[in-house]
Order: sequence, then structure tokens, then C-alpha cells
Amino acid sequence: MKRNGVFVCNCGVNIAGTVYVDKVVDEIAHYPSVKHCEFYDYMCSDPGQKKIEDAIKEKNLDGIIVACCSPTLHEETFRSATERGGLNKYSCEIANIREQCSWVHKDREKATEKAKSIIRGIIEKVNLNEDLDPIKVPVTKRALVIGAGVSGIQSALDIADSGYEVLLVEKSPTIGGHMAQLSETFPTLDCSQCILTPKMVAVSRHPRIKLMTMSEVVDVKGYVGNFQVTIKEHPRYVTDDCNLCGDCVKVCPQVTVNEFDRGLTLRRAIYIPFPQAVPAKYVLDDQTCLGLNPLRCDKCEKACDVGAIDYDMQPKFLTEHFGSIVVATGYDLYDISQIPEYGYDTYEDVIDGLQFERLLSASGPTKGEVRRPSDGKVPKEVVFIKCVGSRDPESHHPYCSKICCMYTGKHAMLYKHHVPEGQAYVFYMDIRSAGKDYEEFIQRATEEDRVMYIRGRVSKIYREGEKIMVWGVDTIAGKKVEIAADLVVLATAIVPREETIELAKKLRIPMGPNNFLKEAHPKLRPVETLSAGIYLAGAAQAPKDIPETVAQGSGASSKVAGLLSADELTHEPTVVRIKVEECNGCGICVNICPYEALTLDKEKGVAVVNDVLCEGCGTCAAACPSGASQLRNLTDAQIAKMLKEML
Amino acid sequence: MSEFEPKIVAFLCKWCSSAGADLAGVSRLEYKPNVIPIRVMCSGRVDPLFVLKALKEGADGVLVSGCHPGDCHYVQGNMFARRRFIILKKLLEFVGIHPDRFQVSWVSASEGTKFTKVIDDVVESVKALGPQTKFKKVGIDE
Amino acid sequence: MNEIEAAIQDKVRSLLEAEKIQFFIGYEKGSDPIHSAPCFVKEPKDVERLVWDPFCAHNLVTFIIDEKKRELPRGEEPDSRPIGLLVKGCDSKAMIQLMSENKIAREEVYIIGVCCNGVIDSTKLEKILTEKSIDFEALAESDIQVDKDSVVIKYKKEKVSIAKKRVLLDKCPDCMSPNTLVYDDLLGDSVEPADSRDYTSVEEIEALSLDKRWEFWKKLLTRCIRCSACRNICPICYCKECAVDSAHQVITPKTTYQEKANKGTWIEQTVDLPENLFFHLTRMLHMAGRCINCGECERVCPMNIPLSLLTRKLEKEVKELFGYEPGKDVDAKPLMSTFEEDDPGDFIK
Repeated sequence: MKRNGVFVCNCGVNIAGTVYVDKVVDEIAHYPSVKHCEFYDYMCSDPGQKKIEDAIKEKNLDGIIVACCSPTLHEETFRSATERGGLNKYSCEIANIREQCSWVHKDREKATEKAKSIIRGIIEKVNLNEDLDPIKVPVTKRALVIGAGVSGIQSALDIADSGYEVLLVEKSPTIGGHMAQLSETFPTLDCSQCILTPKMVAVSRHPRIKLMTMSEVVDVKGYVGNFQVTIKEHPRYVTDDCNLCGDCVKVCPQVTVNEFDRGLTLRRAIYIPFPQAVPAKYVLDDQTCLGLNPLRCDKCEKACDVGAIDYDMQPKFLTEHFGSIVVATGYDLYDISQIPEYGYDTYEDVIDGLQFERLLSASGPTKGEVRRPSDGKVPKEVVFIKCVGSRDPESHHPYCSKICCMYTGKHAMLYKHHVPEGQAYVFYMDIRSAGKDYEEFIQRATEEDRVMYIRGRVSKIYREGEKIMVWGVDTIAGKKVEIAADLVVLATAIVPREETIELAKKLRIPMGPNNFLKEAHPKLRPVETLSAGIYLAGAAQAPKDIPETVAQGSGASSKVAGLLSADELTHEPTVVRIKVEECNGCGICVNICPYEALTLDKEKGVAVVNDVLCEGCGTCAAACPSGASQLRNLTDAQIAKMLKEML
Repeated sequence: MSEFEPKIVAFLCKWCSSAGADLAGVSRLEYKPNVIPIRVMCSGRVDPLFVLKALKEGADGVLVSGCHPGDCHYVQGNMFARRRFIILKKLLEFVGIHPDRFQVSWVSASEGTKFTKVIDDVVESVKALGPQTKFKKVGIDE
Repeated sequence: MNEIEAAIQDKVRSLLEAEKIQFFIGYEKGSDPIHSAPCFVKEPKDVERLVWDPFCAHNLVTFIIDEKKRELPRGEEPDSRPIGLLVKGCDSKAMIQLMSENKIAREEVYIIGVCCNGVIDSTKLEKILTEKSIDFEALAESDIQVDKDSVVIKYKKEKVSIAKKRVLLDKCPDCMSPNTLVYDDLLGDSVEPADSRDYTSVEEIEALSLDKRWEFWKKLLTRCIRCSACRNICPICYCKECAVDSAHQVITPKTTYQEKANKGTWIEQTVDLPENLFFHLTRMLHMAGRCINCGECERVCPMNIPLSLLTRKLEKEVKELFGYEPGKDVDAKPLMSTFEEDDPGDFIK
């Protein structure tokens, strides 16, 4: 039988003023298994802690119960004292008789009885406690960042600057993401590429960052500290010898739409996404190329003086180990062909926001002049429509895409800068300009640049001659509005990338209702996922603007650096244990666990716990019909015994 | 003979309700001393068998308190708990045990006042029912 | 011999002769004409023992679980062939439920399904016959004719007709799955299922006052001798060790005998009302979303406790609260391992 020591803290008068500690000690001293019982003024003081250490040695105790304040305050204190006394720290438990007893009652007799009950319960818990050691996991000191938009770039740079190796994986041929496509950024109107490209170059030059473009994660195994990730690198068909001369492009006979310009221009099968692309190499698009067959066409190979073209390049697979993963896979625009009334698919002069960014961009298809796609004329009347597919729970997406209010304001403003005599109309539902200097920016657009904001929705868009007719309503004036526009720009909803959904399954991280990746806690753990060691950055989690995205990239990297800074991870050992001989393999627990800590061993027909992933909530233990799943140090037996003795 | 004072067991989740109870303590809010708290990690840890056992051991009432939906520290433990508890409640009622003998409440870490009210309400309602004798094991007494 | 019986025998004979199954579990005639009993057929020559009549009450799916629990004797190689099994419509829900709980793999069983017109409750019939002073043990099998609506007994040149619904098992009149849902072969003509489940018996109890309900159950559950027949016959109650038998104390080399003796348990050995109630409520809690109401627990109860009232109540609540029906979909997630955001929560303050 356990030899327990019970220490009742007076806490000055905080406890002793309400609870008759002497009566408690008198009774508890005679409780079975209690070999030592005393009260003391302040147990948390040095002499108080010394009492525990001494009593353990003198009376050969192996269980310690301290009846004092809430365990959130001094559990660690007394467990350390217990450890110094030579016992396992889990042989010490706290009976909370201050916050949940002496401080909330006035009747001294009743409070004393309640304190005794609480202490009896905790004694029974200690009686059945096991000695536990913290779970230790070695850490691979490398990080993987998936996605090299601005959040991934920021994250990779910050991790690398903290001294850890980073592998940055990007699916497309260049890093930079959507930010590289933008013209100027709100609210300061600095040129997007001017602020982004230095970061891109920093990535390519950083000694601790390894960059893999045209690559994707195909398999993830392992857990925090020890992920094994398999990455597939698609062939680029252009080797590192490429010197960017561009001779290959001149001879390439195959043409396709240019994704970087969002279809506003065309490109060859061999191309570079944009001049500042990193890595600075051309790429051969094997879907557009005549077939990578020198017999059919070898024009680019012939044109290349340095012999950088290799038609025989094959996909490469490599498996690497990481301690931590940052997911920064970004966003896509909602497919607006789902909204036929806006005619995006029908009329060339109805474009989305990113296309308009390209039109505004100095390096874009019109060299920064605003010219409409159909006939290259400078549009004199431009209509911007917000919330296209957002905030529409009936037909499209229920959420707010967050950045459209600001970028539409910026679009209208920049348009007016380019075409001062033109008129910009913005159809809006609300203007959401919360953010540093954001409201002032919108005010500037309306007051200085005379952008006309119309509160209402657009019901129909159709072509009439050279004009695009926009039918809408001004809900403030209560009037129907009809505008003969030259160009219509739709602020399309932001959606998570389709690949992210697949990736989330591989990483075993949950998604929210709209397939955005889900954080561990919406307020307190916004960059963590429920899978320990996997963090989120950028718009894959929710629509975000650049400052937020960058901040989260940095946030994720500080989490990664914190994790990688330790040689070993320690984890609370109060996790679930599956008693194999009693487990039926029904799988109820496996479905319940939000941390994927439980798996079903189909062959043996039992559930298996991964101690490292288990957070110790015990929900599976309560669901297990046979009682095979038990939470260490809060087992069914403990609860049963506690109930019996407390009542 | 003094008036009947019910004995009630409360299972409080560590992150919300027990913290809420601590807050009530720190704020020196007063409530009735009939409820003996047991801290569990999550309301999801509370097996309905805990409730049956408490009643069998002579509890006049049982309270389970956890985080509000959506606030669970373990994401959704309280949601699983809710399913189990409603089945338990229906069964207890079906065999003739008053529904107030088993009560559930969501109390967050910031709701010290709500915790106080919940405890007083539970004590009051259980007190009105009188001693729980149906499920109580014979021979269990002071 | 009826057509179905002949078809069963033929099929089983060919399966056994071809050595396609390990053995077959079906029914044989019991010790008297109004009972049929489970029967394990291993040799083709024994196939003639197999019967199919309205007395085939047992849920044979239970035996698969028992068979799977059996430790293989030393030296014996595991037999990978399926076990043959006769499965009625109601029992097939147990099969589906067990498959969804990973307890049985489909390929481990060869299922002969039968469309069933209802099974006669031998106890009810026995009572009626005894009242009419008919010595049913003396009857020949051919003296009992069961047709659509009545049971006709030939006894001493007399013909006694009893309305079939008076003697059917309680689960039969509102059976929603008279035809086997999962099978390799299906015998018999498809039977029309009942329109809806009849919860009158449950609603009658629900209509009582709290104290009346308590008196009702107190009387019944005081009767329970905790023989565990209900638990043992139940195809879903398959745990290797029942949660109520121990509360899972961690035993280490340091654990003393006092501690072992003093360990926390859910249930004590004494047979009294609180323990009995605890036992049955626990069973129901663990059965929520799993019990398929085959009624076997009630049928085997030696104390005639109407346990179906509890299981039907459970079925009703699970359906009403969560729209969940166990034993329907192999791929369904267990009820208690899922939740909906809008699960009823009005009872929570």
C-alpha cells in the first residue's frame, strides 16, 4: 500500500480562516494509507517545500498530497519538491481547497467537510497514480516550408536566419506567388515586385535555404520532430547552365496562354515566367512542347549555345527528414464562370482583379498603361464590382475575402492616376477597411481621386456595341443604376488552392468548412495546426493581405525555431494507454481523436496510441466500451475509487 | 434534524470550468458548499459511467461542466460528451430518475459568476428533489 | 420439408462437399416441436439436420463472434475459409453493424439469407398450449402448421387455431428488415417490411410519472440475477472483458494484495437494485447507436425482464436525436465517434 504524506496549507488565513485545518489533519491522519499529515502556514515557501522533502525521507513516503491553492498555481512547485525528495513527480497531486473551497464558502463547518472530501478524493487518486517519465522525442533540426509565395519566403528566411536549414518547396517554376503578379500594394502604393524580388533573391542566396521549384509533396510520414517527407520534382528540361539569353524562345513554334499574365498574353512552350523569376532559369512546358522529341522538333536545343536543354530529364523523388513543417500554399481565385450573370467567360472586357493588376503593372502586357483587352483602347468608364462570390452563402461562399475592399480601392485609385479623365465606379456591399492606414487610403480614393462608390449589387452585365452595360442598384438612393462601361473588374472571392486539400490529407491536418486550413485555436494558437510541429502561414488558412501574411510567416517561423532549438521534445506523459488484451478494435477511439494519435492495427485488431501525438484529453477513454483505453493517472479505476471515498 | 443538504459531485474540465471555478474563488464569490469538484482534463473524459457511479455511491446529484461549444481546448471533446450525455439523460429519465439529478453546463474560464450561479442552481434544484435514494447503494451512509 | 429448408440443405451440402466453408451454422429441430436450436454442421452427411421453420429464433451471428474469440489450439493452422451462416433479415443488421465495427470481414462469412415471415415466440405458444391443456411435447412436427395469419395445431383429431400475432416474437410485427440485407444467397420470397416501427410499448412507459416509471423498473430490475445471459447472447456485446467487470487498475510488481482487493470498480458483485440498474444502464450506454434490436437479450432472460423496452427506447432516441440507425450502413461511422454541430444541447445550461 502507498505511504502517503498529506500537507495542508493554511495559506495564512486564506485557507485556515475558513477551513478548520486542525480538524482536517486530525481526520485525514487516520485515513488508510496516510502515514504523515500536517498543516503549515505557507507550503509554497522554502521551509514548506523542505517539509515535503524531509517527510519523504524520514517516513519513507511514496505519495504526496498537498491541499492548497489551485493546481494551476503550484502544482509544478510541489512536484519539483517531491522530485527533490527522491520521488517521481507524478506521485504528487494537489487538492484545491482554496479557490474551490475556502475562498467561496463562509460556513466553516461545511467548508471543512468539503475540504476533507476533496482531500480524500485526491489521496485515492495518488494511491493509483503511476510513476511516469516525460515522453522524449529527438528532433531533426531542419524545416520544410511548402509554398514559396511571400509567406513561405518570409518563413523560410526567418527560419534560416535563426540558424536552421530549410527546404523550400514550390510547385510552379518560380517563387514569388501571387505577390509577384501585383502592380502596386495598398496602402502605401509601393511597387510589389520592388519589395518582393529582393526577398526572392535572398532566398536563392541564403546558405541554409535549399530551394526546390516544380516540386510537390507526395507523402508525409512521421510526427513532430521527425517527419519523413517525400517530394517529387518535376523535370524542368533546362539545366543550371541556362544563361538566360532567351535564344530558345525565339525559335519555339508552340504557343499557349501565359498564366503569369492570367491569360492576357501568350507565351512559348519554353519560357521564363517573368524576368526576375527565381531560380533564374527558363523552363520547358512539356504539355505545350511538341513532345520533347528531337525528331519532331529540336529547335530550342539547337538554338541553345550552352547546351542547357535536356529532353530526357525525368521526375525525381527524394525523401528527406524534417523536424517541422510550415504550410504556406496560398490561394486561388474563385472560378467566376460559376457566376454567369457577370459574363466573365463571354466578354473579354470583364476581367478579374489579378488581370487588372497585370494591366496596371509596369512589366505587364500593356507596360503599365490601362488598355482594355478587347481592342486595346484606354477605358474611360470602369466599373469595379466587389464581393464577387464572397459573402453569398446561398449561391457561393459565405465568407468575406477580406482583401477585395482594399485592392478594389487601390485599383480604382491607380486607374484614376493613369487615366485622370476617366471615371471609376465601385459597386460595394460594405467597405471593410480595418487595418493600419487603410481607412485613410479609402478616403483618399473617394475624396482625392473621386472614385464613385455605389452601395449595391450588380444584377446583369451584357455587351452593347463597344460598351459593357452594367445593371445595378444604388440602395442608398433607392434607384436602378445603368452604366455603359468600357471595362469591368470583378473582385473575385479567394479560395484555397485545390492542391491544398490533397496536401492537408497527406499532412493529416484538418480543414475548416470552406477548405481553408484550420488553426489549432482560432485565438490563441493561430499559426499552429492540431498536428504538433505543423504550422500555417498565409492565405491557405484564410484570406489575408500582405502584411498579415508576412506576419504569420514570421510567426510560424518563430514557432519552428522554438521547436527546433531543443535537442529533444518533451511531452506530458499523462497520455492514453490502450490495454491490448482488452481492446476490441472497434475503432471508435480512432475516429474521435482530433490529433490522429490513434490508429487501428487491422492485423492485430487493436488500436495503437502514438504517445507523442496524444494530448491526453481522455475523450477516447470515455468512449471506449470495453475500457481498454485508459488515461494515465486518471483511469476509470481512479475515478471510481475517488467517487466512492469522496461521497 | 437539520434540513437536507444534498451532496453533489461536479466534474469540471481543467481548461474552462475548473478555471472558471478558480476565478470565482479569486473573485471571492460565494456559493453553496454542497458540490465537491473533481477536475478532469476535458468534459469529453467524463464517461457516463462516472455519473452512474456517483449516483450509486450516494450522490444526490451530478454536474458536468465543460467548455462552450467551439471553445474546447481539445477542439471537440465537449461535442462528443454532449452526445453521450443526452443519451444518458434520456435513459435516466426513462427508468424514473429525475432529470435534475444529472445536469450539464458550459462554463468558460472567464465565467466565474456563471459558475457560482450554476452551482447554486444545481444545489437548489437537487435540494428540492430531496435525498437520492433510488440509485443509492443500500448501506452507504455516513 | 419446405422449399427453403431443402434449398438450404442443398446449398450447404454443396458448400461442404466443395470444402468452400469451414462449417455451417444453421438451425435444427429442438427437443420439442415448438423449439428450434442452433446447429453446427461440419460434415455433408449431417446436412439433413438443418431445418427452417418459424421457430428459428436465435441470432446466429453471435456464434461468429464466439468463434473469432476462440483461441486456436496449439499446432492448429488457422482456416482461412469462411464460415457458413444462416442469417435472417433482422440478424443481418447485426452482421452489418459488426462489419462496420471491424469485427467481421465480409469475406470471413458465407451468408445464406432467408426472407422471414416472423418467428414464433415458443414461450408464448407454450403458455397458450398449456392453458388449452395441449401436451405440446407429444405433438409431431407435422401437427403444427403455420400460415400467414395463424398457427394451426392438430391435437387429438382436433384443430386448434391461434392467431399468429398473439405468438410472434415482440420484435416481429413491426420488423423493418424481414429480408436479409447482406448475403451470398437469398432464399424465399421477398417479404414486405412494416411501414414504421411501433414504439407504443416505450411510449406507454414514457407516459407514466417519474415515480411510476421507477416503480415499474424497480420491480423488474430487482428480479435480475445478473446471470449475464443478456450480455453473452448479444452479438454486439463482444468485448473481451466487460467494462463493468473491472475498472482497469494498473497492476505493477509493486501493487500489493490490499490494493488489488481494494481496486476501484464500477460494479460490485452483490446482486441488488443499484448494481443491477448500473449494469443494465451501462449496457444500454455502450449499445447506443449499436444495438440493432434483435431482441435476443430479452428472449434469453431467465427472469423474463423485458429488456427490449430499454433497447427500443435506445433505438427510438438515437433515431430521433441523431437520425441514426445502426446496422444499416457498413461504412457508417459509429454514432458515438461523431457529432454534429447542431446536436441537441437544450439540456445544457
